[in-house]
Amino acid sequence: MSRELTPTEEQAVDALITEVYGTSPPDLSQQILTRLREETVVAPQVRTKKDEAQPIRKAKPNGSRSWWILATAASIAALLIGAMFVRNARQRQVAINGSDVPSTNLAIEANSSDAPSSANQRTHKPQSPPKRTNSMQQAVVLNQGAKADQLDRDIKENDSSEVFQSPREPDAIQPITLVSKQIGLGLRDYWVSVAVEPTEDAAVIEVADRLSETFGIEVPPTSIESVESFDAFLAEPQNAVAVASQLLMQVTEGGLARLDRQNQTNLSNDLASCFKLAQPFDRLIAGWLSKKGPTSDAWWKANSANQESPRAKHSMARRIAKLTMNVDLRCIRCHDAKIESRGKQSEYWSFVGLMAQRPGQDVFYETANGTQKMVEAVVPPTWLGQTNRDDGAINSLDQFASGLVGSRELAKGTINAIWELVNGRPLVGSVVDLSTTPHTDSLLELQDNLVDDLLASNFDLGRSLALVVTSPAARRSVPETLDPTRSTLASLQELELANEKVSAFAAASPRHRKVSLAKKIEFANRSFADKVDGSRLDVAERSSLLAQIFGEDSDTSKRSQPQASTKAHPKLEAYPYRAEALPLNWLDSVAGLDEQIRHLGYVASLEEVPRKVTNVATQMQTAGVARPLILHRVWWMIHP
Amino acid sequence: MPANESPQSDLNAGELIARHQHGVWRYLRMLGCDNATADDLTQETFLRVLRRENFIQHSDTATSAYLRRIAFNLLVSRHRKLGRVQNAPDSTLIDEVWDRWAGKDLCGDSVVEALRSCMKLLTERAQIALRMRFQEEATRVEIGTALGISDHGARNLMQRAKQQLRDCVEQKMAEENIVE
Repeated sequence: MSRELTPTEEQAVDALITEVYGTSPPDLSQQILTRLREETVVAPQVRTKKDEAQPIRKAKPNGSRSWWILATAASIAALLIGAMFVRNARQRQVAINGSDVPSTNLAIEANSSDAPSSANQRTHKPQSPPKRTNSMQQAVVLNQGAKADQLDRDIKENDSSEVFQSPREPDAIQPITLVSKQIGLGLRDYWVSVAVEPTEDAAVIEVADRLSETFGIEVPPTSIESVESFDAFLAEPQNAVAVASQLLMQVTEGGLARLDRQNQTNLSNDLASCFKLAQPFDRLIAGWLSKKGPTSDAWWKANSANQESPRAKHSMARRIAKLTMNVDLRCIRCHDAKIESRGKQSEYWSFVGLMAQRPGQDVFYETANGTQKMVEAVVPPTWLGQTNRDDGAINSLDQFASGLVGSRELAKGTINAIWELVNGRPLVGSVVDLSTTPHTDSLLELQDNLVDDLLASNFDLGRSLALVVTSPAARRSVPETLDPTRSTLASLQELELANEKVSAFAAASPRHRKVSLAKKIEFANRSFADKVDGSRLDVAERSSLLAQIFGEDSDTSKRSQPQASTKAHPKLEAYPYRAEALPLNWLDSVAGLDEQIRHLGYVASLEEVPRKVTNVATQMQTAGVARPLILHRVWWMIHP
Repeated sequence: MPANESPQSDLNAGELIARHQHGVWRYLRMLGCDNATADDLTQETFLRVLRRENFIQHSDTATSAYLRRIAFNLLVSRHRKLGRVQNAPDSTLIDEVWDRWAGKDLCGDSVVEALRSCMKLLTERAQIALRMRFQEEATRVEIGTALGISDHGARNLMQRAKQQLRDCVEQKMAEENIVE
């Protein structure tokens, strides 16, 4: 008896049967060659090694081409300006006459086994200038010396996605002002690619207020005027420690606060030293992970807060994987990744095994269909960017730690963490999340620029933080539509447009008051109970209810006053009264309201959704409230 | 080395496209692309390669694998761009099927021809069901009604037919020694 068709085989057979019944492959030669000829008419571009590994954008209409030319001109101008303003020793040592390097050097260096590894490039001696090459000459060299490896390398460095991306040699460090310009241009390029118009620049004092709240210290408006001024701000030890403390709070999801004061201070001081480049961040994190650093114990404790709980190892693994390898573990604890192609359940349990101090031992877990499986406690090599699965198991914390030194994956996780600290969400988030930034080649290019710079700067966190803080994304104003007092009057279309801007970092998200879960549940319960007939609370009723439960100021007249009110208490996040779609499209594939709520809990990094929340949801369901609205309200209650 | 395996160092764009475009297009269809998407991504795949001045062909097999990898990556990028929420295609599994069926016949012409002749071996009812499904885009209920069976019966009939087609194609490919 023949074996059953696998889903993959069925998909392939379906495609072929469709072809037999009429749709043969078209001859696309003319279209491809015509497009290719059209592109070659455009002024020739000198492509660098970095460019070779970057996504190549589609040919754009003339307007975009002009934009590219302007951007290039701006970059050149910025290069000159940057050279004038280079202040610290590291930057003074950088030469910027990159285009004079003989073209053959790149190819020779790229193929030389003596090329310094990223770990070996950690000194701040004068570095080679950025190498540019004539691509035709480069091709000749490759033809002579490196044909055998070229195709393999091409595959690994495929430019259309990061899925198979391999670690690259970091570029030489560039002047920070130049990189800052590039980040700004990259962001604007990204906004064009997702067709959103950024909001106006917010007033500097407003931006400074936001950052003061984020960092927990007073950030003077003058300190965010440029990357240099913010660099100078971070040079003050107390500022660096305060910012480091907030970054630690974020990556440990509040775990830092559970340490005693001395350990908190020690950890913050350690991280603050990375802002001043007293030590590279990758070395620091490697020391923490391998338990060889003086503050290692504190770091592990901060990450495994609630150590009494048997679930602690899961949240600890999730936090560590996110920061160190930019891997999202939320879904793959229970099943292989269904939405993103990265991550399998077996890999999750391997990693958790290692984090639970069982290196090299077997770990047992249960699959979604109830079968028991066993894996070895290791770090999946692909999580560390190793494209070859046979590269060997990373089955000890020491190996894991050393794999992070100079790691591109660590750099990605770090950039995302810094971006999240400043802008509220990671630069390149998971598509599993709500409000994930739309992914385009431009976004990945922007991420690459920041990651390249972090690697080239020897994991100088202060430099990356200054770039992010002074980027156009951090300076956006909040769309008026999202003002809590106005959002209920806005049309769904207006709200959608504003949210699109926020999700693309083209607008700031309104600041919201942090309130307890208990109060939110109480509000949801009463708000719902008062209107079982399905009618809405009117504005007055809503304000009254808010005032009762949260002590919210219902006097909206103050909001029309100018900047003097920037330090006013932020409002409560608007409670959802309307919803047409599920908060996450993929929830549609999850059966049953209970399961959908449970999955929302996972997205919110909760081990379990509180029973009181599910009770309110059940009452809403009984009263006939539409499921999308119930789920939006659940999210309102539980999200961080 | 198969007859169609021709190592070369000089890149001729027209020849490269002619030799590999059908393979790339079929691979994308197997990954679940509709015709229009397969057309777009096939073009983009070749443009990505032809824009690279340092691209060198070592063998048709290596180039074919390289093109498929680019096509797959482009598809993943497209899903990301569109924010499309759907199961990501698993390139490992589809590559395994591709290698088994298309093997060293780079463009997949042989497997389509094999399938065409295998379809003639199916029962008339199975042929009707598949034609209705894939040519007329009929629903299972409509197919069941036409054949006097339930929609569930129509599903089982087509499933068995596809299984037979797979076995038949694999046998033919083995006989022709295209697949090792």
